[in-house]
Amino acid sequence: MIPVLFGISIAVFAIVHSIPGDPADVLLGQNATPAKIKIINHQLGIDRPLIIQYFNFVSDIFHGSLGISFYNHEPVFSLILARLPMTGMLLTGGVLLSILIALPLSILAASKRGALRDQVVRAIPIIGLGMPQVWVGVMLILLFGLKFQIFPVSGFGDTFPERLRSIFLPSLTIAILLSPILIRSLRASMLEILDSDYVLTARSKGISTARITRVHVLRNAIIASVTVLGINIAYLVGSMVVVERVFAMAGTGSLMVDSIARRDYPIVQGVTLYFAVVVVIVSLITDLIHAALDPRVVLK
Amino acid sequence: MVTSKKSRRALALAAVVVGSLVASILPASADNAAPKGDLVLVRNQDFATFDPDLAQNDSIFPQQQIYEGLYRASTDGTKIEPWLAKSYTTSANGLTWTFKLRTDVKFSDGTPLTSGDVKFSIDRATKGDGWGFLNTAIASVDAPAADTVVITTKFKWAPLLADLASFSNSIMKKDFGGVTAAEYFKAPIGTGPFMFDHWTPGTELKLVANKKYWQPGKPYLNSVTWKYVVDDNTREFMLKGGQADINEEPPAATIKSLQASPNIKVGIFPAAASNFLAFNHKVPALSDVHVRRAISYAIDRAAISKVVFSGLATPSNSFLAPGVQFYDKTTPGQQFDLKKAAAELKMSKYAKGLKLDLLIRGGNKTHEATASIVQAALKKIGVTMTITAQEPSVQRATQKKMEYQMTLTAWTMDIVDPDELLTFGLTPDGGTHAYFTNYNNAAVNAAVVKGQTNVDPKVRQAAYSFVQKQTAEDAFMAFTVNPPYLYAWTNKITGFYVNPLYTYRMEDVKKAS
Repeated sequence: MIPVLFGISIAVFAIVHSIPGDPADVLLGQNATPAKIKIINHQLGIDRPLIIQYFNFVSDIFHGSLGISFYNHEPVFSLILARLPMTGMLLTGGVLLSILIALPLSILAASKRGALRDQVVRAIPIIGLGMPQVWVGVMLILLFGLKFQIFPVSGFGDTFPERLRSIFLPSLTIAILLSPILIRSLRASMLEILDSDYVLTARSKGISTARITRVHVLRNAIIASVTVLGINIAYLVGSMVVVERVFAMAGTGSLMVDSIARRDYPIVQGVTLYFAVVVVIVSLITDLIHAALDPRVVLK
Repeated sequence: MVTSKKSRRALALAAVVVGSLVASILPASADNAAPKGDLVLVRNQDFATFDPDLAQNDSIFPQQQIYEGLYRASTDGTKIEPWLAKSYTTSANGLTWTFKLRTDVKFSDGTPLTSGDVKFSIDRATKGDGWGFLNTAIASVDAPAADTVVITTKFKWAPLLADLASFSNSIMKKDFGGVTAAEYFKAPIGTGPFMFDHWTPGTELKLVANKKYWQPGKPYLNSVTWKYVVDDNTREFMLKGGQADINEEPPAATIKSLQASPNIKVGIFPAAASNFLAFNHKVPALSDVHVRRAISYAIDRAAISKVVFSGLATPSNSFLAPGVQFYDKTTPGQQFDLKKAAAELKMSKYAKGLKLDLLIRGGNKTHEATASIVQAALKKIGVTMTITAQEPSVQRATQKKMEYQMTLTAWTMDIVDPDELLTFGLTPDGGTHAYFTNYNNAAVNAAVVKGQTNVDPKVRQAAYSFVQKQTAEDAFMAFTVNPPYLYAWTNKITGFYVNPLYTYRMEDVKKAS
């Protein structure tokens, strides 16, 4: 993990500093004259040699800090920390809803290959993957936020129940786009296992279809889907900004996008490093779950 | 004293009646002593700083609810009115300005405003890297008495009151009240109608009513919260769904549907704002005035207004926007005329046509649509125009390095006086080489100085009319359109207005329960 993060720190630093544009120019806006830009760049320390700046960046990390934002002068670590509950709840909600949608539909489809219900469920991934996140979010807001007024249009709320209500629509937006991937993976795995000899043996023993599905099929089919889910969670971590924007939720994705536009180097570096850590942790958890479910896999 | 049940009831009833009568005849301020209503304003800009020197539009409006200046722009944005200062006198030579301060003003922490606070604030503003250029003329600020401030200028300076009305000259506590600048700007203290409550970067800024505000009965609102909502649709949904009270800058394309919505009001406020197509005069073809005029004539301003601003913008004729003091509506800025455009091009060295590039901001719908309209028009007169899109901050940097040929740019006035724009954006010494165009006309520069250093409005009008006429004739930039400021709010809100300088005063706003 340490070598991965070290490599990422170099890559992030190099990419951030190679983007054209100037933090001082963004700070000063239309009044920024070349002379003033020079002064502000000196104050921000970005006129120093890159190697010194990188050393300071790494040194800050070792001191438990990710630096101070150029734009609002807040510690980067605090800015990320403030957004973690929202991002965490959104991600968890999206993944849980995806599983709740994908699991029954996959079982329904795989239980009778080629039947109408299978055809309908197979169409879902095509439709789901074809819908832009922005459109799905807007439609959900129009329907459940404005027409029926069941859920708030935007925001995160202050109390826990309010927050649960607030994250439902954005989580559903994520789920509508994530569950098709799970359905496709889970259905294919289940069909493959249903054709296997041990399932045939179980059937010949007279074990009920429900028990075969639960004990023999689902448990084995889930192994492949866990990996698929893990990869997609890692992808989601960095791509939730669209949902955050539509539902006016200030998560880590929005923080990243805003900071890139402002050339707020410390935040961009800090958030990228945070994304990297999350992706590494999600991959690790995925491997652990995979090992727990599949006795053939041994972690060393 | 022994009283019967009946008489006790009669007494109670009488007390209620008398109480109601007393309440009804009390002045309104008693009613307003308890501000009510929590207003939520949604906008696509995140608040950035409480430091007036670094403020841009994202921070100016909230700052103006906390800080105040000696003077301020009138509601219609065309005049300057005394605010924390009561009056002023000038010396015979016009260099010394003596201001008398109001004596009933307190900061939100309860300490009275004194001349020491004013001196500290204006001195700091003058040294500022951001907006210090507005105070170029100020030589010194003195505080001879608690209610007296003396400002000495290096030369006669007509725009002084307008400069003092700028947010950059906001009055803060002397020496930041004994804390560091960084600490002060984390929880700022001012004399304005609202005071700091909390700020969550990337989410919201909340201010609450300043109970010690010097204007009786104001503010009417209990709190104002600015929420950062990037998506245009989401802001509209929040307004319609009751999660927001005011939507800042709804897209022009949505104005008609908003106007048709029940419970929503739309404000189309005249703005001291201008959009331009800037020429880099260092480019040989664009150093030719006939080429610049040809391009300027070829721009269909009405089409830009219709396509980009849903018909809400007006074609521009002058470097100054209508609403700015000394704006001259007779300025003969080029208007759409393809015949004149072709004729101008024939008079240039490029009669057979030429190739040019227009630099725009990628992802900016206004820029993209405007560029397409200009491209189509220029093709008709033999100018092949390519469009280069750059990310906004890169585009700005390219413009400032003058590594562009043509680009789209804009300006919103911060003070009533035209001097801010003319010094900064027209003269070669203003720090921007005439808004990064490299335009330099000695007669225009002299007229700008004449306007600055004469207090006689007639002399100033003549100077500024000349500046507008000459810059239009020189087509130093192509003035495209003057867009309005657009706002939408629910019908619970009253008293909301935006002046042409793009500022609003929340102390005048009420929210019905």
